[in-house]
Amino acid sequence: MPASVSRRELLKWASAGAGAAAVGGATWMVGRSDADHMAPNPRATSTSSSGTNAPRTTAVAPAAIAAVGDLSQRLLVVVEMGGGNDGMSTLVPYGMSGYYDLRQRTAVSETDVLPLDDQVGFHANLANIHRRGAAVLQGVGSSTPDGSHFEMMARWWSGDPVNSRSFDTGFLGRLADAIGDPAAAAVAVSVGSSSHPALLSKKVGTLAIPNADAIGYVVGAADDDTLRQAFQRGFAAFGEGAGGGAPGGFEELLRAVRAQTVQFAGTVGEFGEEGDGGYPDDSFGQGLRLAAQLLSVDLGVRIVHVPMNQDFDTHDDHSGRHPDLMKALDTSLEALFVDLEARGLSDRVLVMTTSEFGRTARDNASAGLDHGTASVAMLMGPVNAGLYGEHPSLTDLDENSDLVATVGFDQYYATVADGWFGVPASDVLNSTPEALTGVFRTA
Amino acid sequence: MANDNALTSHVLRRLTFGMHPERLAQFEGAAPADVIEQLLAEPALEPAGPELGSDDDYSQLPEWWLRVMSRADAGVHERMVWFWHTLITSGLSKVNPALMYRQHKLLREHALGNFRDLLQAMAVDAAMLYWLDGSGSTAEEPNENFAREVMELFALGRNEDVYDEADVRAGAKAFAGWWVDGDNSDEVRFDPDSALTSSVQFLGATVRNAEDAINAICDHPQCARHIAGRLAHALAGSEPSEDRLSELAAIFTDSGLEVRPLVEAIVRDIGFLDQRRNRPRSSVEWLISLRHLFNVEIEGYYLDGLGQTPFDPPNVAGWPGDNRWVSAGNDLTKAQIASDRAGDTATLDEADPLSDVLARAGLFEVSDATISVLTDAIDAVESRRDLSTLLHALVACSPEFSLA
Repeated sequence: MPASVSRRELLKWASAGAGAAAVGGATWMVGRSDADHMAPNPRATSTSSSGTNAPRTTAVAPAAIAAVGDLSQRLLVVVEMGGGNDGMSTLVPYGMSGYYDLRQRTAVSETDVLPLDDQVGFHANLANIHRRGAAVLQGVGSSTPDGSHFEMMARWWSGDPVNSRSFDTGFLGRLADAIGDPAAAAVAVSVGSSSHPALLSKKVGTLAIPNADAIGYVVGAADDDTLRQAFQRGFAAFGEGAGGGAPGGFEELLRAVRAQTVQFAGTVGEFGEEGDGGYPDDSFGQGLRLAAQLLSVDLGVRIVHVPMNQDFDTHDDHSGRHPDLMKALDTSLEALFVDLEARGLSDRVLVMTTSEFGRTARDNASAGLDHGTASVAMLMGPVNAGLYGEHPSLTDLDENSDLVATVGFDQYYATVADGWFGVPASDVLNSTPEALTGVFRTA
Repeated sequence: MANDNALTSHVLRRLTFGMHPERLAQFEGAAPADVIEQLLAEPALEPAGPELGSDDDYSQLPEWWLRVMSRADAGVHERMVWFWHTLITSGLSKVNPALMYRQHKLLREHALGNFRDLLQAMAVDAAMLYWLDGSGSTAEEPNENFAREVMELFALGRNEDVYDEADVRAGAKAFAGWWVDGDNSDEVRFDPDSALTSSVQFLGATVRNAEDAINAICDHPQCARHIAGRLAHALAGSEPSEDRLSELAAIFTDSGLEVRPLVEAIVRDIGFLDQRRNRPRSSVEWLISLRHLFNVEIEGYYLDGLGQTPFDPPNVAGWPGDNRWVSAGNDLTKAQIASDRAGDTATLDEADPLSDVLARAGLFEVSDATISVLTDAIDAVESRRDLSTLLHALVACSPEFSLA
């Protein structure tokens, strides 16, 4: 048996996956770093320092990358900002009339904006994303928005903007079905302990794993370690028998997942990379690192879903919390892009962001923002940077005084399915939403 | 029909947290119906509280509760405290341990008591006021978080026929005015100036304050159905039929939302004993059962890797359920825990190690496939110590052990 890890190492290990663990991803964590746990009241100690004083970048934009032409080489990383990311604090409509009236307590100051034009610009804490460039979709949402996290997450996960019950699979699962190899242990992976609804598939394997650290427990025992060998043999054999449970029941599922776990572990082996890999040592940073690792070896994994596991549900103290979220997003994604360059994957990996909804147009008395409607989505990698779609009006609001979406998220999904993977939207969505054109940079 | 041991094990898995070895001896030879009655008759535990006040509070609190839940005499009441925590939750990611423990004591007080009393208490509980942003909310510009989730998650379930966005906004006004003082006292106080001064229409009732709003929720017929359905799923493992759900809701309503009669109706049902192994164990159930099997204190921090640390839910909905516990990630983590700790287990009976380890695990209905894997393992190692380690680890990782 391997030496037991120390408690500290274990906690570190656990924290890399715990957030996702608990949620399988997609929910709004409420501030989960070790530092938060040390503080009596994490919220009281949060500051906006990282938000307001960030210098404007003067770095030169890196050369734009063209996407690999062979569609079968293309890969996808999905970053889920669970909890409902405020679009107007991400892409700030600093030049649009109405913004500073709606956001009396939570507006981002013009001095904290990195302008894209005279209407909108990135939050200053997205300096790296600004420098690298992103295709930013404005006004992404649903024509019939709902205020429930769970309803809207279910719609995003399943892939129907108006009905959470249209599919018994997830959008990413269907995409994996369309592009993946059925013989691979997994075509899509969610970074987390719990299986994820967005990855439910019919033909190919998808799975959830918080990190690769425990793989050595189930494969690769030394020849002279008979005990460990016997354990690993038996552990795998549980996935081979038919079992005694009812067909379609949980015992059968447990055995099927066991077989897949062992196959996956056997293919991955051990990554053997020490340290933090240059990524932030939190669940999101290390989750992105695992994504890069999984995509860089020839496993058949094409899609990795990485929940951010930080609390975007900023019902209060929005301006004290949201800048840190932007900083965390920007810092970890920068580490990913640097890593992808080193691995030679820059022309193969597209990064897309999702979040179940934006936040209310107007702020509340707690200097926070309740559940809203449309938000922004970002595509990064081999893309033509710029703004896509129309920003929702800030003066012509819906009957609940919230933003009216201008781009259905099925259009966003269609853009990725069709434009990136060459999968017709009608194969993975239940309508034929119009994909946005000109988003991807081709040679 | 399964033998009595299998049924006793089932009852203990659902009404407590697993098959404590002392329980197996206690109920040796008892009829399953008697086991249910004896468990229902047991008093609540009154454990000494956790020792809080150090930097370790964030881990001490979950460890403390795991120790309580792992006790041989942890029973129906303890199980219900856990049930309410998974349904009406707050969490350490946003609330300090002292306040989480204060909330926990409310759950202990009302676990088998009256649901309305529980919900009234939770609406103005300091941890909840922090967790769902009630503290500081004003009727003029209310924070909608608690109003939405108390209906959607806690008491009614998401149902467009029951409430709409106007109810969320009206409820938010009624719940406004309660503050948690930000100093060290963390006392909850009512501030009339930020509270509703008139009345609003909420769920078809006229309400003026938080108490009225909670009453309106509890008076709604959907409340009894929602709670009955959630509890039936937790204890019996599957969704009751519409007819059965209506029966349970009627029992709950007729009792004035007393919890105990609802629990009794669910577990005394003729079908309860047949609903064996019909859902996966949650990670907490799995870890406590592993403590019973290995007879060692397995640290709660392992639960981080299994996605379920008590007092620290991932979000306002608590933990995801059932099939989402079945994942490659949890499978790997279970292999790790079993590998790390099986060496500390007792040496098994020399004559029949297989029956011994299965009995310790509370597994009396095991598939031929699993028996075959375990039988093969017996021939794979030489020493009795290694055999005990191996069988304990493999049983812990068997499909049957991951079923509730």
